[in-house]
Amino acid sequence: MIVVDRVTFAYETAGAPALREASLTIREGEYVGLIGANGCGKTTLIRQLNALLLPAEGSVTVDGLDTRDRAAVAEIRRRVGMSFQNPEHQIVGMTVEEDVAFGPGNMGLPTPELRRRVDEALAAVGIAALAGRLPHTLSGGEKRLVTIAGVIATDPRYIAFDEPSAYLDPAARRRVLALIRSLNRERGIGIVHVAHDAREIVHADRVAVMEAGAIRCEGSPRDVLTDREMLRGLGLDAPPAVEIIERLREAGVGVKGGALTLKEAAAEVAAHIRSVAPGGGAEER
Amino acid sequence: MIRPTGYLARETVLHRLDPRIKILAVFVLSAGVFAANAAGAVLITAALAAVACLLRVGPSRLLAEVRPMVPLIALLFLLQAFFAEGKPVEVPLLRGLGVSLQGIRLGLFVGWQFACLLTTASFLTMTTAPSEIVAAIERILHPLRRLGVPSRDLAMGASVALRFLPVYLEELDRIRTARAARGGGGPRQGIGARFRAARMTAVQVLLGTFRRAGELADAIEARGYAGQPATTLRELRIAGPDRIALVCLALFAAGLTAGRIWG
Repeated sequence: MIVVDRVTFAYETAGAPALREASLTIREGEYVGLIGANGCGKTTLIRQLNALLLPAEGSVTVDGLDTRDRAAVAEIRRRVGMSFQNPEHQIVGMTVEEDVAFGPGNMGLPTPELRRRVDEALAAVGIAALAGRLPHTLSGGEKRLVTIAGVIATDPRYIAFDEPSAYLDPAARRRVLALIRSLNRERGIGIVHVAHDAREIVHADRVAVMEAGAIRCEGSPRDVLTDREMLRGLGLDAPPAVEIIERLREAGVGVKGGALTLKEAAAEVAAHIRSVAPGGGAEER
Repeated sequence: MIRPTGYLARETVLHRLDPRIKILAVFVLSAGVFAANAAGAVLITAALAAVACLLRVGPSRLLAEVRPMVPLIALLFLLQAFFAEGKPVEVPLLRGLGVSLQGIRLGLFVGWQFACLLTTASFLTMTTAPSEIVAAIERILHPLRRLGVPSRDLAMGASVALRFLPVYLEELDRIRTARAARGGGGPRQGIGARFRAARMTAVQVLLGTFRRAGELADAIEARGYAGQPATTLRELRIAGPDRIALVCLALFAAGLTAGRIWG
């Protein structure tokens, strides 16, 4: 379990604190979505999770290890993997497979084990064919997948993703989001997913909304992400499904609220049409 | 096409040799080139030709490796030809210029030395991936850790530099294209304008570097790097062919030394 407890933090160069008594808990195997406007402190918060930044006040513990304990930092970084916003700036290997081997290599794993980990991670991400490629020849989506393989290869218990769909085209974006979900479901890796777009985190176990360096509210995606007014007040858009249903309701159509995905919204609308159509369960056209 | 190093994707014996042995060979050859007399020069040229045959690298490829340095080689040749001590030659065109036969001979020798050094270095980069060179240098420097030489940090720095070299070349290209698209930087501009353009480019690239460096350092740290020794996918291990190569190298060095003493 990662516990962020009333953390306050300010960058040296900026006057106002980037985090003000922010608290967040991520349980093992949990998928937590973190959403907020630009500059609200999302990135600062996740950098606290693996001791890249240390709290000025409050504390961050990872499975009981305090990030301010220098002796624990190496272990904390083993447990909490991190995927940064710009994949270009986190690939350090001269080839794809060398980059994926960087993290586990730092752990001092023997070469055969390293080879096994790298091959497994590349296969899990579906880029085994890229093993020998040079990083600058990859597309944005491929670079993102390489960075994810590099994190998986260290076998972390949690992974923090900072806007993993940034710089990606729709197909690559879908692929990356599906991959993150499968890491959570199939491997039981705890996920912190920082997003701009509420659509990306509708399937999370829990969603936290950040505003001005603090957690404004948290709860199930259905409770948090259907609050269109609150999201709009923070400069964020509700998921399209919520937007459609709310607009229909504003137009006087009596559909039920609470849909998060377009599939659910369509089902709600269909159910409504059936209920008002003559003859009740008439076939849709 | 951007080609930071001219790695040859072939499977030759030289590709499989331990990179440390190859680096040692580069040092032996370089020392030989500097200390060579006529016999040594023949021996070294023959050795380099043998390596070229082994790699199936033709003269045109070798010339391409040396070509960027040709002006420098030419300059060295001319300096020697004009300023080396010796009796001036009495050929109609060169009379009175102070060109001596000894100077020409010395100039040719210096040119040969330079070309040999370049070729030797090319053979290393043709047969060894940059990451292997970096790993080998790290291992070579490893014993110096006790003296406070941060071998892993140095290797890490070198490898990051090599990793981002092509990225920078692309970035330079982008900046240049962007400027051209806005009507700047044509070949007809004066020296002053070109100088200003170069300065602008340098500033842009530099600013990009600082931005990138911070993020990169965070990512490197987040992935568990703390300057400690790490393991890599390819273990450096001295195997049978490496031992044979070492013996060959020793014989070669002995031959050069013998040629130097009795030649």
